[in-house]
Amino acid sequence: MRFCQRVIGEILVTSGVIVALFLAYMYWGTAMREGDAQQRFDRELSSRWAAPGLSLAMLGSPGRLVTGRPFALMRIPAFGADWKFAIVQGTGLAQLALGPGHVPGTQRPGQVGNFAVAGHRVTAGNPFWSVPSLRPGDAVFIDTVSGTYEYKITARPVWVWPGDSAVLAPSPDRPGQRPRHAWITLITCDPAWSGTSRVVVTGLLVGKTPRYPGGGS
Amino acid sequence: MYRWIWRQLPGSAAARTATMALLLIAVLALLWLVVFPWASIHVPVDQSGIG
Repeated sequence: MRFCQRVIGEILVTSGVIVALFLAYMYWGTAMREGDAQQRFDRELSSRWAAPGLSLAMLGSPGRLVTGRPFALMRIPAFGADWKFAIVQGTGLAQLALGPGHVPGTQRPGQVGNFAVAGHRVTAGNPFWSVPSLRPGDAVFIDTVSGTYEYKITARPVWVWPGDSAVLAPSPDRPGQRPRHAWITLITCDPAWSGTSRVVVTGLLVGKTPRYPGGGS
Repeated sequence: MYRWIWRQLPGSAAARTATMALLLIAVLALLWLVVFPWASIHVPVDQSGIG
């Protein structure tokens, strides 16, 4: 009896320690891994976007998007001058572990329609921690091979259910209609550490600075 | 459980302590480098996707 009690006690204490370690990993471990991936992506994009290797055709069309690979950088000055993340293609947990992810099937940066990006509120470096604090007028910059797109947030954050795919529609203001504007939609979870609901912030394209004037569209 | 492992280890008390420490480090490394990374993308702690 005493023996069984001791073994059960040891197993319970060990499980508790493992769970505590896992939480520590979710907070610090995922941030370290995401930080490594982001540094790699940053170097990769800079070298891919450096002038010599670029043809005019590449400037015009950013090529095929590959799941889990970076294709753009996102900057939001309202979150700090250093706030910058590489956007990967795809929004599965394996992709969001690397950085904010472009929702497959939605438009690309700058296109008429809806460029939707989802990101973790917590874990993986907490990229979208402050998204619910974005306000109309805040700027979101998206750097791609063809240049920098500037979006302006147009509405306060809205809370939706996880299944509400209307926010991904090409015209989120008038779902089901033909899109007339180039939107950006940022999605993260709320409350943090949960899957209960989503916070969505939308903005409109207000400007484009070509990477190389005269090249690309 | 831990007492049982302790008894299986050979050598003096000092040698056993060293082996136990090595075992502990090996288990922690396995958890941190293999098990947790796998679990972190299969356990939906913080879900941000939609649709």
